[in-house]
Amino acid sequence: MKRRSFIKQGSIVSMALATGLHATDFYKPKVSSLTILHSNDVHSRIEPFAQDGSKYAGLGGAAKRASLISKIRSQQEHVLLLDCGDIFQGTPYFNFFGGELEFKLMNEMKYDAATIGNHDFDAGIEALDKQARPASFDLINCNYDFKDTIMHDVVKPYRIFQKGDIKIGVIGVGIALEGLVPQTLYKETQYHEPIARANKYAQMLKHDEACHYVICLSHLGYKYRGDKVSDQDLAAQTAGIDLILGGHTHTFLDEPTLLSNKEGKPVYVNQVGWAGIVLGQMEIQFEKNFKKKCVSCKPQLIK
Amino acid sequence: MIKNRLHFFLLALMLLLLSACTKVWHTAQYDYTANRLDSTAVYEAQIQDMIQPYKIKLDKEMNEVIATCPEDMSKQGPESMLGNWMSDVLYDKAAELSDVPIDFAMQNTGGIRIPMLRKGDITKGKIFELMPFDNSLVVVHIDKALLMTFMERVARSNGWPVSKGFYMKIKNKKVAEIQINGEELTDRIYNVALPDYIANGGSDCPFLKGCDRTIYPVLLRDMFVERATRDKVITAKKEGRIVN
Repeated sequence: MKRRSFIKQGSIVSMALATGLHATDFYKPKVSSLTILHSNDVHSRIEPFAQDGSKYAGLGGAAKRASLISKIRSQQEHVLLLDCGDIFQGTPYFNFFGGELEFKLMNEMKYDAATIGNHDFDAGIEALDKQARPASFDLINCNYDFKDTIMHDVVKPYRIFQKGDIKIGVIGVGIALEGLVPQTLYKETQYHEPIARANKYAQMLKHDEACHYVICLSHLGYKYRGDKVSDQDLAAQTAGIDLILGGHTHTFLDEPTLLSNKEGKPVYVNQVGWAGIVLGQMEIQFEKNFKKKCVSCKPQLIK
Repeated sequence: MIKNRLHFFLLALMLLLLSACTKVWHTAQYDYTANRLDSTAVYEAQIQDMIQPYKIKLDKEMNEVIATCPEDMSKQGPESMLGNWMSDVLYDKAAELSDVPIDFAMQNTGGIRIPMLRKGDITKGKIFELMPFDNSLVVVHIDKALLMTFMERVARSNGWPVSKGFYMKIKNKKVAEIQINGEELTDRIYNVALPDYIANGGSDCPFLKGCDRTIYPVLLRDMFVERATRDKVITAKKEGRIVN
């Protein structure tokens, strides 16, 4: 288990201010915490990988993920549980039961939201609709237009969650489907360039809706050598997003990557490989204080 | 007048003080844990109970032995036993369904999802591992020029699995020679059986996207299961279909 503490770079000023003012500090600022749990590209890996000596033997499995989630929920008050797509495809559970068990288990684990991956269309948009419609969590995406499809009233561009004092906006973006998924499966779903859409909704959530924190669930991929849109581009070319949780490229990261958004503000990008081998857990502490003051803001990476 | 000005000044001061006093929520600290779900993790019984009825149905189906494999069959190219077996199954099914004679069948090496079919009993589950995707059969009807574009693409990957009767020599990742059933290519239409993934432009074959085709709604995986069940034995010979 890898544990890392770190803090946005922009807070060094606030830290210095806070330290300077410490002697005159006669009140304790209000704090609030949020736990973000996330998975991506679980690919129908209901059971752990078989104990056959292969690379991932014995790893993953829904029952293990669920017990860890329960344990964390018993310790933390404010938990958001999110998935970044490709819930489907990869084991016969999907071929046989069409994604029914995948969604049932996610309901049981009380997922709050998920975005859509390219493989989630693998049994056709009707099959995805059949599982998503009665689900207890929302599918979130703002760059696929479903208006001419069966899913027009199922997928939401964003959602707002209130966790204690903290208001969290969640948006979702998906990868270009053409060439990746047969059109016979995604039907009349229209793809739009994700960066402009993400930017629009992040701005709206940060400013009009006054969200304290904005998360983007992405199935674009962590990074590419070519000019395909990745989470790196999404981070650098948007404003208002605090955290990008990604998928598609099955990238295992030891810790979230810190990047600058187009206003020079910090944005974290994370991804937890695939197959439910790792459950990401981000603990965020918020402090209510004057704009230029923050007592608990940590200035550097602590290992 | 002066009184009004004073009022205005006081109001402005109040607003200024008020805004200076406004507090915001700072994102103060992050702490990240990558929870690896290894063999020490606990299983949640409730989830196990939910999986169980699905697992029983699935295991019954998947653990059924449908054939035996007398020797290890690798997918390692340019020509492989596993690739030959799979391509011949594709060819035979296409030949059975098609109105026009099939010249050959081909598929991408990456579409075979296990590196090797091991000697021994073969379960239906193993065929699912071999071909988890719901790829179906397409016969493309392409002229000599398009066929050559396609084959140059295949040569760049040092060859793909292909059916019997096909011969290609690759030199420095380029086509050096092609024969189909012992004949050089001529100016005619070739009928080639492919997974729909390739016919739709997948695996760097965008040139195939718009071409003339016949679509058969039959899954490749089902063809492999059907053939293995019928023959009871999965075997193939390497006979120099693709050489380099």
